[in-house]
Amino acid sequence: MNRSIIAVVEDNPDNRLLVQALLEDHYDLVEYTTGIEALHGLRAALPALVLLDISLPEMDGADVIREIRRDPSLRHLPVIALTAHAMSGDREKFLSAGFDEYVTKPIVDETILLDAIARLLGAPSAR
Amino acid sequence: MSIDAPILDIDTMARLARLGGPTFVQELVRLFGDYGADRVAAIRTAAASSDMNGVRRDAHALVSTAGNIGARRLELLARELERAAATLDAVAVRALLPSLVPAYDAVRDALARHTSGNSA
Repeated sequence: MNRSIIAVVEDNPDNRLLVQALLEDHYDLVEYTTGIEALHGLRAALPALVLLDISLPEMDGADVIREIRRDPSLRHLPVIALTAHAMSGDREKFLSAGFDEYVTKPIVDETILLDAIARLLGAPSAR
Repeated sequence: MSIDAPILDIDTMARLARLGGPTFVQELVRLFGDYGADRVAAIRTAAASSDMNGVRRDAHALVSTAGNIGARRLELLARELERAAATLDAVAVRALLPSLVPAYDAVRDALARHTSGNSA
């Protein structure tokens, strides 16, 4: 059975390791550590969904989502913001910036991430 | 206050062990030792040169690095540092900074005890 490909854009190695442990049994993962690298990679091979960290070096997640939504070949990609920003009003801010979902780090309840991915892929949750 | 939070949340460590097994936990602990130490050093360097953007950026990274392994007290301290730096409150950053290395060292020691306890 073909597994969906999820692109993980995250510069922090322990966050990448944790996301791998959470998702690798259910999805194929492609990892990028910078926004620029991710945009090149997404244009070369379209994944089913993107997990995008907000605080990235050089080009941050807000810039990356703007580019994704501007690019006709990428604009329909489901993108989840993965961020340690957890202030009141942040969810609305990220959704209005073009993200489809918002999951806070550290990920203390993996079912929130798994359910969000399943919802956006239109599939049953992998949990 | 961050002082009320546990140095190391044992439930989180147990959850991580269930999730990925002992090798995964060891790797996360190793990354905390390397990457976490780098972030602590970077925060101190940035604060010493009044680089509030640098303090904010590295404190933000430390929030999830600490939180991933259940280092709640360090996670909260990093959040406080991030908030203070984001509002350019250098007085608050200076007040929080002396707690940073002891908070990091306490986690490292707790992880060493936890790891040796589990391998005994």
